[in-house]
Amino acid sequence: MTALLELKDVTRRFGGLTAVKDVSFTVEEGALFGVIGPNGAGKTTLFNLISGLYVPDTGSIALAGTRVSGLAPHCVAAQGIARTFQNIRLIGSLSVLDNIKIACHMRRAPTLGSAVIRSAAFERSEADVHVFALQLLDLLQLGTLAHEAAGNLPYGSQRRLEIARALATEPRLLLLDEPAAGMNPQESLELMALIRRLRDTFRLTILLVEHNMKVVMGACERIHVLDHGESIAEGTPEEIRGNATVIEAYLGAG
Amino acid sequence: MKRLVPILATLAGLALLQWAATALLLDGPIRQGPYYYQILLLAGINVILAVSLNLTNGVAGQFSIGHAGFFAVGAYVAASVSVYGGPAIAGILPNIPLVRDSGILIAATSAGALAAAIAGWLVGMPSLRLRGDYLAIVTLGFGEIIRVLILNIDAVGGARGFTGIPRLANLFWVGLGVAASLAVVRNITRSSHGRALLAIRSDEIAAQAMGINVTRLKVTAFVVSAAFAGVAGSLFAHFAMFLHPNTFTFVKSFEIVIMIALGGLGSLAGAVLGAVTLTVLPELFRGFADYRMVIYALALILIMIYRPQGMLGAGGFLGRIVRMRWKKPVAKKGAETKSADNIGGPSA
Repeated sequence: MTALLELKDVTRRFGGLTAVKDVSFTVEEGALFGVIGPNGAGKTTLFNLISGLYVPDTGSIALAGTRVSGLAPHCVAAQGIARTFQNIRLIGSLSVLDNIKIACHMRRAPTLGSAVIRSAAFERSEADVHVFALQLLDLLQLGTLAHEAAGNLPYGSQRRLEIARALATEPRLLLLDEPAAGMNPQESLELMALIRRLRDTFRLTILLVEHNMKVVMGACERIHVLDHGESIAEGTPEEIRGNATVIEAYLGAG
Repeated sequence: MKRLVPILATLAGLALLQWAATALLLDGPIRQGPYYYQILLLAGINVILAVSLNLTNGVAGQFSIGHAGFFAVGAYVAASVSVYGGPAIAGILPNIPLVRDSGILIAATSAGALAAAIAGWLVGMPSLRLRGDYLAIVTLGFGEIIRVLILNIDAVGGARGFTGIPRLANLFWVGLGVAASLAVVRNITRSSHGRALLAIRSDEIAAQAMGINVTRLKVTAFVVSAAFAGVAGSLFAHFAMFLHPNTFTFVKSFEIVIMIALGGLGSLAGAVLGAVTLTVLPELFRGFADYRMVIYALALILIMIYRPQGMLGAGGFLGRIVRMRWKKPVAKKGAETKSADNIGGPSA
């Protein structure tokens, strides 16, 4: 196994608040890696740093040896990092299918000129994207909803659609920001099974941030714990479960 | 080869239209025929302006209020080409009036479109990097700068106006411009790039995260939009035969914005309808010409309050009729208007 994502002493401040401080960890290729921590631990900030929405003040982030910190978000995506958002950011007025097709733009778009003259290459590419998008939707059990407006979907389906959209960018590393937020235990279980299946089907590496301890413990093979922006522990779920510092961070010093 | 058929059909149709208009309105029995002909051409020019602005304001969601600036650049550059370069261009063409005139007009229009596109790139590059209202302010300023600049260039007449422009544009050429702008804007909208523009309009951050180069795509749309404003400018110059900076004030820019707001932001048919309506209505109500801007402002406020989607926008009453064949009503707006800055973490 080789390291796919490498964070080295990443720090990000917002005014006087240090949201993420000297965080370092490595995610192996093909891993299912979880980042957990109490509210305000800096989990989402960490995601925004990795996906390029924020630039770290110090430290560096590399994907397969290529530095990605400092790149614009769309360049980070081009390197092969895709993400979902904690507060779902679908385009509600467009159909489920179109939401996927938008994410295909980066890798599969024909040139603008060919779109204007409707060349054969354009028609071919549109047909390819259509088939690809439908396949992806089927894989995430959204096939029957393809022509529904994304905003009309139930919450759980919207979350799955966000994952499908991220996959449409054909990433190497998938970042899931609280994928189980707002789901009931049954849905969470199904989601976890789905995430494992996707990792195996697409040979992905998955990094997920989660608040729900049960979900993380059940799904992830390795866990990194943040508290107040600092790393406090890393290990397998069993190790984390027994770690005194982690218990203290979650439950308070007893 | 298949694609040649509609193009040839359009050309034939426009030639026929030109012939009919000449026979009926210009040489024909209808009183005030030339006046109607003029309104027809102005409506066409306004359609090009509205359809092109719709690509920026409607589809990409970037609010530009300086379209008259690009219209002016196109008009003055094209007019300069035909006035100063006309004889040279005529020299290399066979001496058949139709070929000569068409050649000069095509050269002038290309130059006007190119100049407007370059101006669009220069304005768009810095301002489209920013989010929010900056583009509106920059484009408003740009429009005024262009106008003041023209006022001070003596070679194009300055404050006296630019005279002596040959009358080369007619209904055929304006119709061709309308057809080209409609085809290009429609094809862009209904493509991968069009979908990406819609994504930018509703959520720039999500669009970026999906790997869309937001700035580049916005600039591209803006440049295409400016180029067609340049085409409209050239057609206007070669039809009116006289240009004056006062034609290109911010009032003209607002007029185009109102056209697309009235028709329905983002709707191609809406832009056409809005442009035609706002060309014909003022002619019908010539008596109220003094109150035009008051009425425009009032109309804009009322549209924004009671029908923000415009006449042909999603859910509009005309839109509902036009879209009968679509089974599903388009979803309500709320879902797509997430705060652009809220990406879940703390902010500075």
